[in-house]
Amino acid sequence: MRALVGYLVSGLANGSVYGLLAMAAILIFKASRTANFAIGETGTFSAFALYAAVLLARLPYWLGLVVAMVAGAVVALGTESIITRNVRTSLLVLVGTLGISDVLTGINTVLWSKGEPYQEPPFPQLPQVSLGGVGISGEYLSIFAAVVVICLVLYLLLEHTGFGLNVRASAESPDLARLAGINVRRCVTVMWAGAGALAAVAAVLVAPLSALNVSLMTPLLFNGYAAGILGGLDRLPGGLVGGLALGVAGSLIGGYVSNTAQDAILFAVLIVLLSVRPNGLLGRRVLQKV
Amino acid sequence: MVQMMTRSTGQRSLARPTVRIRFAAFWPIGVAVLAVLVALTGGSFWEYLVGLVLIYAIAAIGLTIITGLGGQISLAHAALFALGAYVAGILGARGLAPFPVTIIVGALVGVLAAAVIGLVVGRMTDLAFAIASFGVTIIIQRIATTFTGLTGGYDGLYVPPATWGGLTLTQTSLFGFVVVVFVLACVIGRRLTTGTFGRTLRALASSKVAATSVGMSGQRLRTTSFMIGGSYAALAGGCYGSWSGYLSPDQFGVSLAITFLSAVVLGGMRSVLGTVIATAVLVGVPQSFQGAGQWTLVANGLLLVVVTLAIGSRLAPRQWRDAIRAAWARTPAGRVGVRGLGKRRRLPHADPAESPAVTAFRPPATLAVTDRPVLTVRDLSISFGGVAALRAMSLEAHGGEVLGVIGPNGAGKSTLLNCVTGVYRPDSGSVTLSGVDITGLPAHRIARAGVARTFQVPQVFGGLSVVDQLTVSHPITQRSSLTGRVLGTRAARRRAQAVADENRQVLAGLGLADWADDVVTNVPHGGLQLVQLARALVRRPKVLLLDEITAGLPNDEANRLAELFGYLAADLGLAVLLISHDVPLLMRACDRVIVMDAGAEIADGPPAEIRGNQRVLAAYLGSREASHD
Repeated sequence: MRALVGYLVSGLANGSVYGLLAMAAILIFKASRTANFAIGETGTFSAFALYAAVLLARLPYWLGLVVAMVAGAVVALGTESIITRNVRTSLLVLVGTLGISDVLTGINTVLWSKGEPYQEPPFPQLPQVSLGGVGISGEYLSIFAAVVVICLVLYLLLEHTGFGLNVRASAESPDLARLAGINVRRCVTVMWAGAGALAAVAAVLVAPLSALNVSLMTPLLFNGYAAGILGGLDRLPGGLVGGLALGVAGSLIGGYVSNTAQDAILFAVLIVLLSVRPNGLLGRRVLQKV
Repeated sequence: MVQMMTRSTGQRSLARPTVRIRFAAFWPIGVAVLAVLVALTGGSFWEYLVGLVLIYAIAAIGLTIITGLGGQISLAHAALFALGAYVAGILGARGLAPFPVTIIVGALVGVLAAAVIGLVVGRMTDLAFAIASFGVTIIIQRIATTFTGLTGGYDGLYVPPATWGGLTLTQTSLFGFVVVVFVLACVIGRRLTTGTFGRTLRALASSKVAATSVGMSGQRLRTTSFMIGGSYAALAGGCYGSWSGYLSPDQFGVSLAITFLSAVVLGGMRSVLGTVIATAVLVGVPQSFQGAGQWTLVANGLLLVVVTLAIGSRLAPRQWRDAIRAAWARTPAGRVGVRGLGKRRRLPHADPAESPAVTAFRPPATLAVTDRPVLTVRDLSISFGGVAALRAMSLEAHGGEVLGVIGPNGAGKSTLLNCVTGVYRPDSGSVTLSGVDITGLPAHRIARAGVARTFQVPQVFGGLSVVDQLTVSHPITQRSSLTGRVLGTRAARRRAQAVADENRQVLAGLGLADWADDVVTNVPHGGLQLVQLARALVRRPKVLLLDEITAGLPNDEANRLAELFGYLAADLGLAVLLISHDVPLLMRACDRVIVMDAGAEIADGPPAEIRGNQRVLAAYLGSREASHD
């Protein structure tokens, strides 16, 4: 029981990070109908930005967090304006973003590979809480709190503001939105910036748990995309649900079956799930109109 | 006049392939000679590097078939490569099989694995498939890491030097082996990509709904493409083991999968030569960046970014971009760009009386127009969410008759067609074709049973030429063996010629002879409807379902076309079902008209009778008293 709760909690914490990445992937997919395989490295870049801001420039943590999120947003916008906006076919876009990903890894390597691994400044911790005799560390609790706050902010922004309505409209049908006088270009920009900031937060949350190094987010990128696809790429909550499901499943497999084969088994399960539900857990079946 | 036009087009089409076949036969040898020269003059480092490039290129050619033609973004290629490498490596290391046999067994295992991948993950959407296939690479990598007894895990597996008849092969003779495999892979790959198989895969990737409407089985084609592409990957993997002499799980990770994918995309998606060149750049150039130290990765990334932008960007100078794209993506049948700009071409008139579209099919036996219906629809119902689009719709269509279906917008006409052809699965009711129940069958099986259709919004195979729309749809093409086509056997060539002749005849009959070799996207909207009709006709259907086919055609052409339907029905015994908004046209062209409203039939009878029907008037004009009657 004690072990189970432990696995569940760490699984939910990992899953939250996957979920944030998945939401970033979904925002980008909704904005541009393509994938951005550079968001993982965008996150790593931002985690280093936080490190630099807090430990080198001696800024307070919350200001460092802002710096990291801005860094993520700027990198994402750069990716959008260099690759996604200019390149036509979605496959070429994919390869282009892989190029950006390489460039970012390269820059991170040039800047930071000397003193690896670094200790990322920790996210402000909540006090430890005991649940049925099992202590849940403040680290995990603050991750959960951060995810809840982010989801709440996203929900309020998208569902309860006029601008959010514009964003949703341009994601649903850019042409109609344009006809309705919505500045689609600006909505796309905002969604990409938001995706970059989300990737930054994901990295900043996960970095203190492990060591901060240049390959921090590399293995997480595909988990994030897997989470997004598991949940269904057409809705933001799907990303979070997919992420949490993936995180918990991974943690349980790691705990009870095999630690080394964890991701292999996880992906095998994912493949089976997706061949049964091709549009993901929450995805809507798209009816083809001819 | 029509006949002359056909003949001249025919000659042109004969002249072009000859030149291309010569080039196709020689460039792999040219590349091989270049490779050998570099290897001989450059010393052992260059020999190793060139061998590596050739091996990776073999695998990338396989991915060209899966991703470039089939449109499936696969990151499982690294897994298949690894599988071939490990199977061959383990067999060799344990002395279970002699040298080339190890590689062949590895390739066969790769084919089996690819078949499973194709079957299990084949029905996913694009991005889901990409991630699932990434999962396959992770799974194989973990298996290689975990089963240390077999693979050596992270300690690696040493592959013994290849031996042949007791003699150990030198590096140079192994290089010769790789070059031979490479040339074969190129030649076969070129046949596959430019032949009807490649065009069929492109058709499927371009419009799945159109592809199944002409009888292609998406699942089967995808699995086949996976098995062929997978055999390339596993074969290359086997060669890799012998070439490098050492296997370790970290050689077969995501970055390898990404290298393959990048090679295909940057190579122009469906050009074998392009893929080979791109592989050389992606594998070779980073070697020259090695001196850059920490900046290597930045340089690699910038290389990808720059090449991507150069090929696919709106930033690149227009002429430059067009030139690159034309040279890169050229295929024998389809030319890029708009031909004859300024030289405005009109669709020539179809003359139904002499139309080869009719004469080409005239069946030898005299047709008896039977009283038994060819197509019977009984109580068909379907609803989307809460909206009932069809409510117990029934109809019968007889051979030799042109049956019109009219009704106001939203009456369920197109839904009826989609239910009959298997695009939608009806909730209840039945569809019978010549006494055989076809309700709820997959679309491609319904098409094979003898139902052909056109789509209201034209669904054509983008990127293929007009005549190729017909080639890939022709039952003879679809039935002929792939091996025969790749080997270019006499029988296969004869069949291809027969199909080509017939296709050009049909196109000429519909007045499309001038467009036959144009990329279909250059054809105006009205012409696309005719292309769809031609594509449906070469299927030799029993039932022809036409959804708003006269939309977008000028009046006189629409009328001629309507006349043609009469001939098609009378001469071929087809049941022609014509959906249209153009009531006067329907009244002239049809033997019988069915009126639909709100998902059900409200009238059925000869045109003259329908014209005066009160319920029909009510449905169209919304008269209150009449609707209650």
